[in-house]
Amino acid sequence: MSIAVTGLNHHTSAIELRERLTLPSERLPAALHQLRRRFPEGGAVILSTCNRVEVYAHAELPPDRIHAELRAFLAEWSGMAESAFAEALYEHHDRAAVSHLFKVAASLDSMVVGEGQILGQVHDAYLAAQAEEAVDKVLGVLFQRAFKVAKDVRTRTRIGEGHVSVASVAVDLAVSIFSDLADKTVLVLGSGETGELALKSLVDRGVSKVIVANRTRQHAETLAQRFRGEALGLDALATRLHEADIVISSTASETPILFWEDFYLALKRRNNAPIFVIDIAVPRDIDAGVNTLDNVYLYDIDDLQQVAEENMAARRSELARAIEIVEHQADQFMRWRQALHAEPAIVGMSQELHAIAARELEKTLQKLPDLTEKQRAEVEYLSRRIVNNILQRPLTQLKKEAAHEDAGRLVHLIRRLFGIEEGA
Amino acid sequence: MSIAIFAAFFGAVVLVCAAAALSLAYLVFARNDRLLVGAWSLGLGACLLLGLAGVLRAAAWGKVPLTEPIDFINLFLFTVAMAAVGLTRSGRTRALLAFYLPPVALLALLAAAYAVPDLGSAPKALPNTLLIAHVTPAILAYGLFFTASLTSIAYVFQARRLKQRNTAGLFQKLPSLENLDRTLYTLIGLGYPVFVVTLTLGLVWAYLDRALLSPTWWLSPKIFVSACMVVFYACAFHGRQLGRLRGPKLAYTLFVFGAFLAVYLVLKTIAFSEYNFWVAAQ
Repeated sequence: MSIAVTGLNHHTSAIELRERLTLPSERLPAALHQLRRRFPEGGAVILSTCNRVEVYAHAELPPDRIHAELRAFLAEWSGMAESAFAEALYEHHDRAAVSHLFKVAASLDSMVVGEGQILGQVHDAYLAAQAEEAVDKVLGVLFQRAFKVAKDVRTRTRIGEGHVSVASVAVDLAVSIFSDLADKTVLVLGSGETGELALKSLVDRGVSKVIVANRTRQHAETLAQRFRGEALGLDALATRLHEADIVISSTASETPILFWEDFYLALKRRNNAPIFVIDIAVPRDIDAGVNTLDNVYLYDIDDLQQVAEENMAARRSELARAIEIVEHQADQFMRWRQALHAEPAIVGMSQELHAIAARELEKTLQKLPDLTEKQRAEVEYLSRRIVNNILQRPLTQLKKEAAHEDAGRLVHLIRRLFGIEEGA
Repeated sequence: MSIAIFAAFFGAVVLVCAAAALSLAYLVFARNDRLLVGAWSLGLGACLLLGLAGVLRAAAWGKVPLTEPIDFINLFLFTVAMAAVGLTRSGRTRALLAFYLPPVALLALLAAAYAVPDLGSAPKALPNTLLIAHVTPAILAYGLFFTASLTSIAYVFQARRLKQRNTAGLFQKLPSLENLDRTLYTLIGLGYPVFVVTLTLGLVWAYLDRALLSPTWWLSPKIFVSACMVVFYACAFHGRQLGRLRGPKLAYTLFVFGAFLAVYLVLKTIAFSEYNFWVAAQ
């Protein structure tokens, strides 16, 4: 039996192609049903996200056949000819497929390396397949291992540390100053797109009070309404600045609109409680000298991008260690799977010896009709114990040896020695 | 009883060293909260054993053990370790253990190396209960101040990294500035009244037992440092309360005064080790 994956992702295809191949969650059950019909003795899992569409299958077919089936499946469900997406496809089988899944789950193959969302998506894909009874034993263990590997990679490396988008970096910095954002006030100046994104991220993290100030009061009111905030004209800024714990500025002003003196006075009025200033405007809205004030932390767009790039670089530097963990775990999984081949032989050997013991026991008990119930039970228990003791060492050794690739001969020998049929 | 005292003290030293190693491993290696939970649990164990060592010494000799260096260090370490585990109960501030526990471990090792013979000997008796009531909170207040100084290092580190836009690595593992500021405020808020009580009791004792003291007792460096300490505590606490001394200013002030105290302690050990009120009185 083989494990195989066929799919495409953001490295190999444009978004237009991925959009056509993607399988929305409402179509997944039907798609999984069809895969079950294609691989009746195995299983399949479909991972469909905005950056990748992949189908994992485990079947009693050679890898080429599984890949052909998966290609046909994708063509059928997308309504496209195989040739339309064949060039964008990647196909892996057995160890390479295992390693690929581990990398995907650990976010080593993501567009933003180390992002945490993919693990949830892999988990959802697994649960969807499980709900349709499309997960067999091997795929079940494979995906459970993938979740464990992803967790290992996150705890043993720094791959998931630090955000890599400007808005998320701004939120991270706000949290590193204030920890709890629930009782904090955000003052937004202007209505730039990045500023709004940063505001949305802050509101998502619990910020409850929003003040929007704009030269055009109507613009301020529109944005304030969306975030249930208060609207101000820019003229009221000086008198309200001290209320803000976080200031996001993204106006189109050609000259700075807030200066050292404004923040100095604001700090005095707020008893020197810290202010985090995010100036995303180009040209900048806040005089750079503001950062010389204690308790004012000013970040402009370049600073935020620099932090994002540093975080990204830090993640990339961890990639080698993360891959090492993934490859080690892929080897472990392959050993477990190899050992699985010996399982029928192990079960057969155990059954055979117990059957012999049962037959001999029956003969002996017929010759001893005067035994009490308790004595009979003792003799039966004795015979089972002898068989188990005889089996213990060979079974342990066999399980150990079976994990190696050259275990086929040993398994074959066991089958011959104990007369176990190939299909057993 | 002696064996139990030694076992409790050395057990505490081992636990606090292990806790310090775990907390540093968290800072240096990957972010793994289990390391901090382990450090916290071991730190709590060390606290309990340090407390037990003190209680056992009191029980063994029937005196409150406060006069020997090992007793002073034991109570001091107990205070700092207790403050550390108390302040880091929540996961948000637990990384501070990496600032608290290594110095505690270092002091514990030094104590184990130099002051341990005192563990088996009887402590001197303090002349009266008032003096016991004066010395005990003094050690507690110095312990709380030491903890605040260590917290200020974390604050200065975080604030500087934020200003320099260097927010990778360690920065991401340490608590937020707000949490650090709150921790500093809590520590000086606890230490200040304790020190005021210490000083008041000390002055009452000095007045009542003035016959025992030399006429120039107030020239003792200890008195000078105590006066500086109470002024400092008052400035720090009220300054922070009013918002005048907040954030980096408070942290730097604590750090500088902590350094001043450390220099004084070194000088006292080297140059003034023989000086005390009783010697002056003789």
